Amino acid sequence: MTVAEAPELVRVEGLKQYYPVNRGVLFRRQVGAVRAVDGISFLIRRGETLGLVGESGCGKSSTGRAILQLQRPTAGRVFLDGVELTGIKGRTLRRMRRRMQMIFQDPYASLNPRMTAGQILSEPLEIHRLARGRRKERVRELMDLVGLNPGYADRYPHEFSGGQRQRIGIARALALQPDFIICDEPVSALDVSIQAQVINLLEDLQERFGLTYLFIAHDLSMVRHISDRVAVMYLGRIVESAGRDDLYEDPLHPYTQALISAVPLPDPDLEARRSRIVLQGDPPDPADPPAGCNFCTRCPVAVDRCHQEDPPLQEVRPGHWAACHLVA
Amino acid sequence: MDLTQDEQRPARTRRGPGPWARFLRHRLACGGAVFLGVIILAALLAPWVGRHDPFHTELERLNQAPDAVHWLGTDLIGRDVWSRVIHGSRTSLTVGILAVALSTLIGSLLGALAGYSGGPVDQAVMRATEVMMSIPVLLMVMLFVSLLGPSLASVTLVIGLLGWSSTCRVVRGEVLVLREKEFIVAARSLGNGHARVILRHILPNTVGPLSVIATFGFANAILLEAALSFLGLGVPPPTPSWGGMLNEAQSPTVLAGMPWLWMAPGAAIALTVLAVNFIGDGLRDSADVRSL
Repeated sequence: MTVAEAPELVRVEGLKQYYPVNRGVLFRRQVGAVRAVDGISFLIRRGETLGLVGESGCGKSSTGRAILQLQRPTAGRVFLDGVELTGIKGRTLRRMRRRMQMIFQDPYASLNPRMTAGQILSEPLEIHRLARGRRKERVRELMDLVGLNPGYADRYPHEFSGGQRQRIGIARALALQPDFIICDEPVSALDVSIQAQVINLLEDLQERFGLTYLFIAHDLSMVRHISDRVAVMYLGRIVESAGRDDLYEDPLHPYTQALISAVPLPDPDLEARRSRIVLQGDPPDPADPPAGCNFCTRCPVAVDRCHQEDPPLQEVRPGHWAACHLVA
Repeated sequence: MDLTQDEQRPARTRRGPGPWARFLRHRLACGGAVFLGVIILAALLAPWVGRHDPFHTELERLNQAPDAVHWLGTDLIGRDVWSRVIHGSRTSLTVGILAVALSTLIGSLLGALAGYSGGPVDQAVMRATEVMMSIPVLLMVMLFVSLLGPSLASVTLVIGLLGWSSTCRVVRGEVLVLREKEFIVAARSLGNGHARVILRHILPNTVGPLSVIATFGFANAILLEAALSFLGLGVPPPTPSWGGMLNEAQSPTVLAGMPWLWMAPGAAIALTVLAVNFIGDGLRDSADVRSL
């Protein structure tokens, strides 16, 4: 069964995550909202990796947290294997948490400094009453699985290197044997030499356990390496999504084109001839997005229509979606 | 290139000396700790260290100046002052430890609740804290102790119940920072309930600042107990207590003519509180939780 035919596992419909902006010293009132995630939809098939790219502050991490219900989304619906996650709580939500986990960006901040590696890994088992009577064994298994010496179970996070800590974070996410894992920039805080090891580990684990990933990153070559499909985010919205090769070889949206043109090429001859599209300025304030297309303020090819009308995400070619007036 | 091997080696890196080593370098704090250790030992071994029964009155030897038998002389009704000072440390330490335990418990739970929940709960707790801080503690303590009637239990309870506000504020501040850390988000994504997140993941990470605040609170509680006993609202006689001994030595004749009655308990209060404050300073300078 190829990934393209596999049944869907995750479905996101019109997800919005707004953060209120409050003013006032004595009487705080809401004066606006930061639209971190502004109505995005996508689906991920079982066993597939969807790459989610975009620059800092475009809402990638908020999307991840809203999917896992770590923050209540402002609007929209999220389904995991047909079960709606939005709106459930308590025991039902806890039961669903076994099936979806997260790997975090900063291996220095994502492990409790007061717990040993062994305690960190057995905690999920305790919460969900798994592996009763053989938890120590299970912890050793998990450490072995991610390439850590099980003899280090009694050590505290500060005694490990960054790459090793990230392996603990990965083992923690695997402890509950989830179907779906959100990798929130799992390697961007690591040394380049360690990045490849961790990426390979993630790929091995995916193959072994049939995992489904949402891989959030700002590094396009990393995403290209690991993803089956890629979605590009800009200012809280998906501007383009397509199969990996399709997107990298034939990007349609001007923003994607600019991002891809910024990736250096390993061949010096090609690199010398590479033409870069350099974007001017910074992304607009997500509390006050521009009229029309979100990208119109920085778009090198914007026309009048782009400043008035917001382009919908349309299927330009089979499986290739873009939100741009100029490609439709 | 085999990087896995290299990575397998645990990086036992620790930048600079650990918190414990930093504390040991703090001379005043170490001196304070030694002094407090002596006081605690004296309190534990009071029947032997005291040499005399603190309650026994020798009617033929009232107001004796210090000599070889009574190292610090005898008081107005012929009790051995040295023995009473030594036994008085039990009162001070008991009130200090129990009151601080109580106020730390209340303060850290309320502070964690406020910082973690935010919103109206936070507002309510913080306003309560501000009210507590704006009323002079001694006044409130006097009021409640006189309502409950003076006893070791009531003094401890009142000091403990009224002393949580600074702990609460400090813990709330720490929690506001910790709440946003990825390991807290991770704890929630594993399915931890809110209570478990607070008790298992947040509070253990506030131990550093908490121990500093608790130390200063301990010194404060000892002072408050002494003040209450001096005012006659503390531990009732004949139980020996430092503040109570000062209370008995108030008359001008005693102050001028019999300094052994007030010098020892006064020095005991001052030195103990000073020692505990030095320990607190040392802890504050050395307890950097993030470097652990």
